[in-house]
Amino acid sequence: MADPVPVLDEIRRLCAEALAAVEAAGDDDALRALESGVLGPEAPLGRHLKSIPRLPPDQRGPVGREANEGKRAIQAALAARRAALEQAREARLADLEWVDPTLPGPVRGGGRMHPVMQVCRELEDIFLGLGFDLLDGPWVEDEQHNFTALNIPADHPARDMQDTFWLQDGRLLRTHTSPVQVRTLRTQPPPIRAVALGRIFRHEELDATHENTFHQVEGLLVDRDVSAAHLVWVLRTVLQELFGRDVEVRLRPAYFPFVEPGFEMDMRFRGRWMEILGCGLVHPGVLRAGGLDPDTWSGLAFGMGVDRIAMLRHGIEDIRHLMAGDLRFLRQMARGTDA
Amino acid sequence: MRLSLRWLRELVDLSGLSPQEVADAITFHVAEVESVEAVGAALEAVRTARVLTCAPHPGADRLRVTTVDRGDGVVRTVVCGAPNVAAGQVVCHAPVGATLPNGMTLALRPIRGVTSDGMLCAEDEMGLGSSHEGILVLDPATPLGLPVSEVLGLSDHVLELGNTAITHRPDLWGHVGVARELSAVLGRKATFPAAPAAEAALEAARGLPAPSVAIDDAAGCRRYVGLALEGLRNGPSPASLRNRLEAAGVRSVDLLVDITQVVMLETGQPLHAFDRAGLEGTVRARRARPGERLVTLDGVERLLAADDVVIADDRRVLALAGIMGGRDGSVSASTTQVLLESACFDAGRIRRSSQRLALRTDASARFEKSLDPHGCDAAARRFVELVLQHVPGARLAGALADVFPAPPAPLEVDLAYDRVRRRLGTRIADAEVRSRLQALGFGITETRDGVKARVPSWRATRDIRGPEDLVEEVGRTRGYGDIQPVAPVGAMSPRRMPPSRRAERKAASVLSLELGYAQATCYSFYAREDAERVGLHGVPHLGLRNPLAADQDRLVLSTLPNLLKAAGRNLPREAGGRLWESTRLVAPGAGGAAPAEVAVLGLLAFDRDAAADARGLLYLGVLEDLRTLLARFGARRPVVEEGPMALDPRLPAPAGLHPGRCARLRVGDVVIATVGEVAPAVRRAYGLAGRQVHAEVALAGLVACLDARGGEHEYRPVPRFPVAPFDVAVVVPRRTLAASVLQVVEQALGEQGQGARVFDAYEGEGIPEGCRSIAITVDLLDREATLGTAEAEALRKRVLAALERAGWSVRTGKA
Repeated sequence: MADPVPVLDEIRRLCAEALAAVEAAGDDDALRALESGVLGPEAPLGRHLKSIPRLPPDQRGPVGREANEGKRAIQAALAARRAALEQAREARLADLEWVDPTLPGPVRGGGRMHPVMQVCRELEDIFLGLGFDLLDGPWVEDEQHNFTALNIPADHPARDMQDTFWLQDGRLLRTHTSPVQVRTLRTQPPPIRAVALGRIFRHEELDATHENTFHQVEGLLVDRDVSAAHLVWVLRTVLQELFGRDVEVRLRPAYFPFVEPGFEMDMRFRGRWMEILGCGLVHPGVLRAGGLDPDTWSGLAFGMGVDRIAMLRHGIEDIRHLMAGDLRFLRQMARGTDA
Repeated sequence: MRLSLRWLRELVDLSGLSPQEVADAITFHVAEVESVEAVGAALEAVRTARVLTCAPHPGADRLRVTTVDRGDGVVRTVVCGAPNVAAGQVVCHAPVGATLPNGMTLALRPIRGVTSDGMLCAEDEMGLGSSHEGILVLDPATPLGLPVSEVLGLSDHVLELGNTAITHRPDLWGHVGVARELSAVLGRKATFPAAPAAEAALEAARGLPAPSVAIDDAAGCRRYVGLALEGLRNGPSPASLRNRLEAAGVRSVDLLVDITQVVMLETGQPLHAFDRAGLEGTVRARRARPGERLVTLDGVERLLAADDVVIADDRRVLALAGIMGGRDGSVSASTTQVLLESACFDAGRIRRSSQRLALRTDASARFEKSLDPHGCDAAARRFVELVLQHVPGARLAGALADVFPAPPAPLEVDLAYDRVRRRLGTRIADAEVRSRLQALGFGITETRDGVKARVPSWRATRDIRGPEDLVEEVGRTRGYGDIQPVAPVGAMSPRRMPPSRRAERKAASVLSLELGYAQATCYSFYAREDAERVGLHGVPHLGLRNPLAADQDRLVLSTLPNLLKAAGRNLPREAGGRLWESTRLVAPGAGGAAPAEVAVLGLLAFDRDAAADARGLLYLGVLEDLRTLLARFGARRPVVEEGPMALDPRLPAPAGLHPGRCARLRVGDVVIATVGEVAPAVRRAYGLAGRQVHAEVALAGLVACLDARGGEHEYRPVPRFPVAPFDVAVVVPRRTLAASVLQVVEQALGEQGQGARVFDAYEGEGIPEGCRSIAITVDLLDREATLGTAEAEALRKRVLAALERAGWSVRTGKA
């Protein structure tokens, strides 16, 4: 049977040593090592604690008290030291964990919306806001819808204005979104406010300003007493929404078979007048083809190239970039947002 | 259409207006002038100069040394090789530094020891013709120091009128028509060319027999005016005619042809002159006969068709009417007598023949616009006038023949004043409406509330039809600048984005913004070769009749080829990337039915470094992206099945895919997407390294998801009583899908399964040959907090039993 006094002394000594070591510990690792080295089941103090149940009853009280008090003191010291160390570390956190914010971070994505599609979205939102319906039509059209009903009969030289891809089934690829006008007039009772956006095709050799595939927005407003003054308001509003409040517009005479009078609209943008769209009052023949009486109803119509808007906005000099699928180009379109 | 400003100034008073101001007047009131180009500017530096002295060159027999004065008092020494140079002449001097039209820039250089300060110019050196016989000598009274271009009438401005802008205006295809417009717009006086000498000659020839002409094809030829002239001498044209043609972009041929061209450019009426010496019998406008051929002036033999209008005499076809003359029978250098034709041919017939023969000429371009038949005789008289002016000894050989079976009645249009104001949305006085129409040549009679306008014949062929056309006439001559914008007023009604647009926009946000795919736009065309490469050989495509390029001859039935091409263009620079596009696949309709256009999204992920992608991570990545996409549309648990399947019954099943790495995603019964790694043979055909994964998503499927769920997830309560999950590994035959294992697990769990997910799939060491181990974590759900350890263990046993019943061996461990 062991003498309780030497045991108590040893416990006190172990505790004192441990407390000193805790005070001296410089970091969390050292504290963790101490914790297991002093309090672990195989450590001297741990062995004493484990042996308590096997001690003679009279010794259990003093030894147990001493050992447990020592353990609590050590645990408290450990916690205090930990807190002190953490506090000291946090005081130096700015330096310890400094990160250069100009370094590249992990990159996710690289996705963008196509610049032309971004403009399409904006146009859709603008026209919805002005109370226009959004319509869609087929890419493959027949002569009737693409030309004849738009006042461009067969053998009319105006067909040259829109070089056409003809299909083997006798149909054609729509050369403008105007056939949607025809369909709308035939299916919707007036008043009508509608736009169609989408892909169109022209039989044109490629160069910096000509594509065979591009996009157009076509608008139609039919009501009683629609005038050129309404046309100017609608189009100026749309262009100002797209390009900014200071955009000015002007009309020039132009010929499009499906409007009368027909206009070309110029826009003053960044200090320069430029041709931006074709428009006019819906030709009475087109209204009649749509089953409307031109003495009762009148309308305005317009068509604008969407690709051209994207090119103006981004300063793109060559239309061929748009169909190239070049990631270096597409990734530059920073407005990849839900505009 | 090239307009000579100098010519226009002769026809209408444009004094005080710069070329740009004239161009603007046309652009803002008539039709767009695309460009204004100064011609003769190359000769700006060449000035008139007097030859002061002229002496032999000390070092060369053929050369002279002259001194010249450009009127500035400086005496310049110029070496000249022309035999006709003499003291006292006024000549054209090009100084050192001048660049001549032939591109030569003069340098200060000694010629046989004498330094020449510039040169004295011959005609050809100034681009004025071919004469190099000597220097050009001017009238000795010419002031010195003037630009030669000015003295010779060469300086001009060419206004290019956009052809498509005047396709509805046959009257604007001549200078007179444009001058008439400028006169009306600017309120300036116009002076149209007269033909006094011709009138007198025709009056004198009135009693003589007219040349024998006839119209057999009245639908093809509305009027035929014929005139015979004799005593002619053909040869080169004088500079005054040549300059005129040149400004208008027409090549000078010879005097007689040039005069027909000048009259056409003046009046818009094409003329044709036949050599009368070779004609036999009656010259008639008729339909071509089967098998008839004609060698046209360009030397091409053309097989004629019954729809062609031809001009023929009793023996042979002389011309393709309104398009081009025949090589035989047209005027030549030896022509002494001509039959002049000034006719009006049917616009549609000329256009069809011109298109069929792919032969477009200045004449056909005008006839197809519907020329005014009333203009034929005036043009013929102008021809006579110019011939009498330029060909001494020329005379009429008979009276004017004029066959005009059915002159069109004058066209009258009623216009209410109020209509002008209501359409233009601006205040315009009644008197202004009248005066503007009158200025354009309309005959005006007032009615109760407006006018009855008699349309001038040159506007009545196609252009002016109804009151709206007159609204435009008033509006454009006045100018549209004072139209004040007015907001339309109308009934309100809700406007919603159509579902297909909503779905596409949502997909764009997910793919481009969330999943990192860059949106491309690809062509809707590809080649037969593309279809074959991606395994769609034999599948009918809708072809183009007139493709621009052989590799774009049909409409796409798969987004794969064009996306692969886009990847190929990127691969030299990019190790990999992800692209998507929104487009339509077009399948030909059966039996004349309209083709099917199926809106799809095409996706392509490509990675040059993924050649050894043994686990198919690129493929699995795209599948995961598709699941995310569908989840955003509210379809949370699409069924993935192996193998391709068409997205639409009208489309072919996707082909060209890796046989072990292709699948489809289904929601309910609807296949929404197909996906697969690109087959090695396809990859090789497009020259692509690494691997590529392609997917197509049906937009209609996404729309259906939106409709079904509104794109919203249903809320599920968050479990409040977590129960420890357990893991199980199942050894299955290698090509058993993990999904089928999960299905067994989920069935066994029933209501209490929170979910089971695969966290590993392994084959190789420790797993029998032909088998695969699939490791699954099973999450248990305890809604009522009653799931004790024993119950959990019972559930686990149920799962294991079910897996074993399925015939698989199971290894378990607690998580």
